[in-house]
Amino acid sequence: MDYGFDFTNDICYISVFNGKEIEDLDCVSCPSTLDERILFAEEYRKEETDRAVLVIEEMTKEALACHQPGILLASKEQAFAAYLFEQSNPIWKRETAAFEFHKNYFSYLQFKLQGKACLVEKKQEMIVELQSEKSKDKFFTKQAADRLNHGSIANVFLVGEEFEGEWMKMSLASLCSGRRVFMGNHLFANGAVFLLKESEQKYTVYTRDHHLYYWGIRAFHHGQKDVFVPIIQPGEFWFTTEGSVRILLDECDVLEIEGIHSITRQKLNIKLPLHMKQQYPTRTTKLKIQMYCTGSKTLKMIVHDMGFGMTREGKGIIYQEEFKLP
Amino acid sequence: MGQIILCETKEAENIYRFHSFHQDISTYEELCYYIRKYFIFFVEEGIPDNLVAWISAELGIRDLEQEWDRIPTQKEKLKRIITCRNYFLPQEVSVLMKKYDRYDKMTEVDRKNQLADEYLKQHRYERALHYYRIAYQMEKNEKCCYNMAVCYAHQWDFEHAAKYFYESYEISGRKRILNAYYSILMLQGEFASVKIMAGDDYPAFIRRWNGWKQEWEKRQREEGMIQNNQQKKKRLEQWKRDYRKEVE
Repeated sequence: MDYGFDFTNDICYISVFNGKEIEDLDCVSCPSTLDERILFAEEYRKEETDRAVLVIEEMTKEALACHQPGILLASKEQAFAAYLFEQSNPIWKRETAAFEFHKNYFSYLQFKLQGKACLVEKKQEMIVELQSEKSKDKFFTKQAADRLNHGSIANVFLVGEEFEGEWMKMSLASLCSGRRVFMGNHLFANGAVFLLKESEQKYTVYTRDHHLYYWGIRAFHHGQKDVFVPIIQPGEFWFTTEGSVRILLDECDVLEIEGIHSITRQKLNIKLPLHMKQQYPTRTTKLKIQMYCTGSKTLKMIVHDMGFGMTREGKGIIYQEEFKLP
Repeated sequence: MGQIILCETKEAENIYRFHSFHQDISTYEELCYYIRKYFIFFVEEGIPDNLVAWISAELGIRDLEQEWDRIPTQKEKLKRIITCRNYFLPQEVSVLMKKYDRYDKMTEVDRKNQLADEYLKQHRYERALHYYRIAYQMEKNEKCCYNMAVCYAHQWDFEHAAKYFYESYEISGRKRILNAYYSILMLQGEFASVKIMAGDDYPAFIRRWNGWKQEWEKRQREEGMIQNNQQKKKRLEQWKRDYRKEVE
């Protein structure tokens, strides 16, 4: 049996796949810490061959480091993409969005295909408690208009217990104009189960937590000048994205770091003034360029002077700066 | 804008020592840097036997050791070392290889003299003398005799220094060398001999001798000051390093 658990705040939606069909179980209250949630999921796994996917609100370093046999952790974005890929082509070939509305929790997910990559962007809204149905309708009408009116969203999914009831009056009209709207609370739990299916996936799913830039320098390598040498490769979660290279400077006073977006091919350039010219004989300055993400949109770069082997001792860090990415 | 070169190899845990020019190295880049700097040593004395094993074991360049025995000539071996990883640009490699060919085409005497000159630059007088003696036995010339005398003088062997300065003077007839010979005699305390030998040139020589003496004393004072400044600079660098470590 394959289990899909969608944890949102203190509620858990569960789907079970018995090899033939998916069954959606009633939602239950659940713990909030990761360890407790794993234990919670373990309760459902009766046999050793049973597998479970836990969909959590946000992927973290701790969640990635968790290696429990038979248990997989996924983000809402991954589960959403997995769900869409299981649907017929017309659904996922076009832009699709999902609104998730729970008590004190509102988020918007947008699914977009770009070449062989699939981008799922998630935006979370802070909401104050909406007392009346009218205020809820007003809030959602604004959200739907802001998110959907400027794009070409063809399908919309509504997920969460807050969508239940007859309160959607104004919002329904703007939501349904020229779009197909689906409603159900087990979208992410279903998607979690689909993640376990061993189907050949042609697309790579990227979320806002993935770092999508190549970062590197142009250097002499393998007998050729100005070869792009990557320091950071794209496609990893930002909190695991890091890299470094060691280089030798030959009359270089400015270090130029290039960034290329792996999907849009947008190019960025960072120039670092080193002020090291003429200080040492040519080609005797070895530097280590270290780069790592400090957030989903911030990048830190550190340049270490490594010296020159036994000939000259290094000075340690000579430059460091944090950059904001577009 | 200059060039950036990607470093591919790790730093060695155990250093390698070049005995010819008294240099310790721990990286591939240092190896290449010193090959260029002391190229004549690699051409004349060849590639040290244990260097390739060190490159393989310590720098992790295994392919070099595997194909080493199949490389036919010393020149090809040297070329393989400097091109096995990133350091030299292709045009620099070709310049070095041309330099190798130039050395190869030199006469034995010239090569020995060149190598001895390098040792002399390194202040390794015994090694320099060794090669000058070989060259001297093959062919006596002014430069070889003069440099041998310099080596002996640096070793405080004034007797031999005087002999070779005089020999160099006999070959070339230059006054500058004769003055060097007189200076050695002066250092040996043979003031009267110098006076007699120099004859009319004695006053001019003494003026020059006093000039040298003053210059030498001045240089000694300056060296003392430089050493003092270098120590201060070293101390400041150390303090900066410690401070940076603390900040990190």
